Amino acid sequence: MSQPLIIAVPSKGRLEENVAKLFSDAGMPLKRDGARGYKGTLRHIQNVEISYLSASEIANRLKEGAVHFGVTGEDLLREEVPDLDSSIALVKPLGFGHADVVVAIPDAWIDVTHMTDIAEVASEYRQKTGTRMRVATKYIHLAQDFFAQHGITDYTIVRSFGATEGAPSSGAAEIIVDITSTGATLVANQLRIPDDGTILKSEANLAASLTADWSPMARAAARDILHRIEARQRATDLREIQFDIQASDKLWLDTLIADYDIQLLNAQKSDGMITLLAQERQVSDITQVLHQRGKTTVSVRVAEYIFAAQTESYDKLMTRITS
Amino acid sequence: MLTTSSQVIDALGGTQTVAKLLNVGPSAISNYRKKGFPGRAAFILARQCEIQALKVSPAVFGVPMQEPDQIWRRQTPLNNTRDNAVLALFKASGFNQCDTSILQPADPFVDLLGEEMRRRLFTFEDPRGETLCLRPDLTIPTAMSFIETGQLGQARLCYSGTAFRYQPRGAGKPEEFSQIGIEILNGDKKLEDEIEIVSHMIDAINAEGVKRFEIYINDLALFAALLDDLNLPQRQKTRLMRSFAHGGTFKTTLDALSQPTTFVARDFPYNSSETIAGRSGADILARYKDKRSAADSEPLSQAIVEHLLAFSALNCAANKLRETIVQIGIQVGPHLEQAIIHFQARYKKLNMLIPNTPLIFSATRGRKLAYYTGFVFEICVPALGPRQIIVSGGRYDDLLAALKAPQTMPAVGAAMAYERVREAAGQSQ
Repeated sequence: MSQPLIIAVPSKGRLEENVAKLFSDAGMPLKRDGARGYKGTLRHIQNVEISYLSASEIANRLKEGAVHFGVTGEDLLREEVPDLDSSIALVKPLGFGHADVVVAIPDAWIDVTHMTDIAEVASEYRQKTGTRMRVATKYIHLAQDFFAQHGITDYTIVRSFGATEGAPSSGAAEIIVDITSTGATLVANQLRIPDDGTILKSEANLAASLTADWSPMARAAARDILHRIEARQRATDLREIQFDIQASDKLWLDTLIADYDIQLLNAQKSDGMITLLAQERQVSDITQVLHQRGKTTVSVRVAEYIFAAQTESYDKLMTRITS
Repeated sequence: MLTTSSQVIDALGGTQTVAKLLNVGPSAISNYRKKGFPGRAAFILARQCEIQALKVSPAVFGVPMQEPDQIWRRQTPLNNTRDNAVLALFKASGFNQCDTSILQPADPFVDLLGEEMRRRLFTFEDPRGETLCLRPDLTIPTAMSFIETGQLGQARLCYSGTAFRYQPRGAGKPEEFSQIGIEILNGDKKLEDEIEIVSHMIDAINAEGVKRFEIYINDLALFAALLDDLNLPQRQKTRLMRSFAHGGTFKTTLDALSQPTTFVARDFPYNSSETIAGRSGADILARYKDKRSAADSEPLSQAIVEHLLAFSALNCAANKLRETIVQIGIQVGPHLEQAIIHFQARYKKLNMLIPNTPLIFSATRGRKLAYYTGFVFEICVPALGPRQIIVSGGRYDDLLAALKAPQTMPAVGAAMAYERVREAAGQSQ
């Protein structure tokens, strides 16, 4: 019997809302069994089972191969799964859930600006006190790897279960490794990030398990889902630019297309209307050029979806699963 | 390079031999010749090829090629080592047997091992929350047991037991192995003690049947002397020494020290008598001022960076050390000269001991175990590939003090990886 595709999504909070939006924007809303249920389905896509889990558990289920897809932060994936690349593929960064994993020191340590300073201070601290400097964090593996990269050895990890940024002032630790999105909490606690103290710039990712049982049924559903998500992402990134065209415009049109990495949507280069697909951030530049070329009216549209025959992320994922 | 299953079968001794090895009929073997090896056969034969040092194209064993590694990682140690010929030999030379626990408190190891060994440590919490580890070597436990006895005169100790090191996938080494070794603690004749350690180890592997090997030697005092001659500010010197021992960060440290430092002034809005997260205001300010004045000092010149990098990777015949150092452009200053003279005196004695064995200087040896401070050596049998280092040892004069001995005490020792010695002996036949 063939297995359905299992997708693990966060069961609560801001992440859950964003994931719900991701899927409904892509035309396949999540259908949860009851408001607090732990199972669900995807509308319009067959053979999919949604599993609502806590964000950190999702990483482990992916590693074990108990779910095919999971949406969770890269920070949690890298923390929970040491040799990430061998068991999990990051399929798509999703543009929400941004958070940096950083080292933070007391702002009053004005002599410490870089990780090398921490290495020196830590070894002086050890010589003076006979004990090792304490680093409070819930990101134990990320912290250990990062400190090792910087040759810092004279420290000890203190496991933190929350409110990590309070550890230096409460005396539970000297420095911390934690997540921050705006840095406001760090500032409020008189902490500062060393210049090279950012460990990871994280965001929510659609991740795939390389160890799951990828049945033909699961693959078909995965392809369908990625096809739609890509179409939606493309529609978010791109705009349709439409204007009148005459035969003589061909002279400069090809240059414009090359300069701005534009795709032609319909190729009516003779008389009539032409539609181009361009990056949203370049739309204003392109319309300026068009005005200079005598196009007095240019209309720009947002597409609901822009589908492409190829589903790049699916193809890439399949090469990793089969190899 | 063997590229087909048929070639592998022939290289391993032909159809009959391989059939016996796999416990299958000859008809199965002729199938393998045509269609390649199934999983179980691939496991066993890949390992056999590894043991016989046959070079086989990865395509022959297909995906299960990775599996022989599992076999290596989970190999059972030759655990009859508590009572064995090597140990008897050491005891007959006046070393007293010292037994220590496999289970050790993790802290001393975390403190004293270099980063690479630290990553290989098996640590875990006991039900009360104390962090323990499986001993990754027997030197530290032996040194701790020596200190605990409280009798800190000269001690000559020997040991035999299992040690544990995590191995990354594909390393081709067992995670559980037997170490047999000797240590001279608080010895008063430094050079003689070093030679004696090497000499006993060579006698032991000879007795085990290992005839052909080469010896890599290094002296960590050379690098320290090289830095002394450069008259660097203390902070730079400490940073270089630390990153040299750490290995992985040496290049980036050199890069950083060769850039001009930009110093950003900051206010210290506290009283210098206050303590902020374990550091006194006075300490913070002193270090801040120190950094400010260091920012004016010259960054390392490109020439020095190149010399230090070249030295850190140096490999040459041990009797050619001085001229090789000169060749890479380093001007031998008084400290380095002294260290080289010392190195050469030791070389001469070693060469007298084993005139027919190649002695190779290698600046990279002995930096994995962070506790070595001077002379280090490794006895290698290159044919064993990833397991080629069969004996390693050296001087660790800071270790006993770091383990809370009342004062600094000289110490030198070495250990053999017993399974590797047996493997090397098997190859010598």
